[in-house]
Amino acid sequence: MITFDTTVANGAATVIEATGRLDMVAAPKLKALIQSAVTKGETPVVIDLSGVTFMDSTGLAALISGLRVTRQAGSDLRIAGATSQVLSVLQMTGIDRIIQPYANIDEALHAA
Amino acid sequence: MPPSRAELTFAGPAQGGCLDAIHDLMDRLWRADQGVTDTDRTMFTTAVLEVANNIVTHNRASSDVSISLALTADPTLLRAEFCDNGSPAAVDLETIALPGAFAESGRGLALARMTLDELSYERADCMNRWRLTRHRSAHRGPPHD
Repeated sequence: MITFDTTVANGAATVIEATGRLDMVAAPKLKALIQSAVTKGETPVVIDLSGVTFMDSTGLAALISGLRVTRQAGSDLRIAGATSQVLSVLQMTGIDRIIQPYANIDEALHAA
Repeated sequence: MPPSRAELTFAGPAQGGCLDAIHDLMDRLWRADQGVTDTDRTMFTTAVLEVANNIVTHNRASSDVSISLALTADPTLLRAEFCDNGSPAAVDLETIALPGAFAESGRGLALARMTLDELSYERADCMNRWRLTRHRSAHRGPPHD
């Protein structure tokens, strides 16, 4: 199970706070939320992963999809607060080299 | 200390809902195995759920496929065995590898293989059987290349 809480920060950036398991059931919902933010022009998109207890390869794929759609719109997707299991998956797959994990939301929002 | 031996089982339809049941089963396993390291717990849980995802995804078009899972934790090994009556899986575990960085699928079994010491698949008697084994960190050999 997962819940998503979406807020718009600083009048532009979207912060999506995920809480629970980011798996094949949750991944389509996250992709839709990212697409919605891009459509509204509320970018960059920051995913708060501090409440994600487990992420599988389909959750990872949702992040990569989000990176693609935000970059196609001339913006960016950032992730923050990844827990140890999430960091392990990012590192084993090498995705931490294309989506840099930030320690917290503030760092991600203020990244260049 | 790990238990002398813990065994847990699950059986149900191979549909998305079974993933929550498998997560719950893993949580029960770790509650019974208080000595498990964070690395072993993380890696083994990741592998089990990736194989479960693969089975569910592979059989998404069929509503009559059943899946069973047996988890075993003993002092040296963590094991899982999945059985399902779905269609044969066309996989070659020897050649499976991570796709390109921007690929949006195809990482599940590669990830499972990376987090296990042994991953096998066989088709027999109209059943698919997946066996997963991870040696506990204290009983691991030197790192693989």
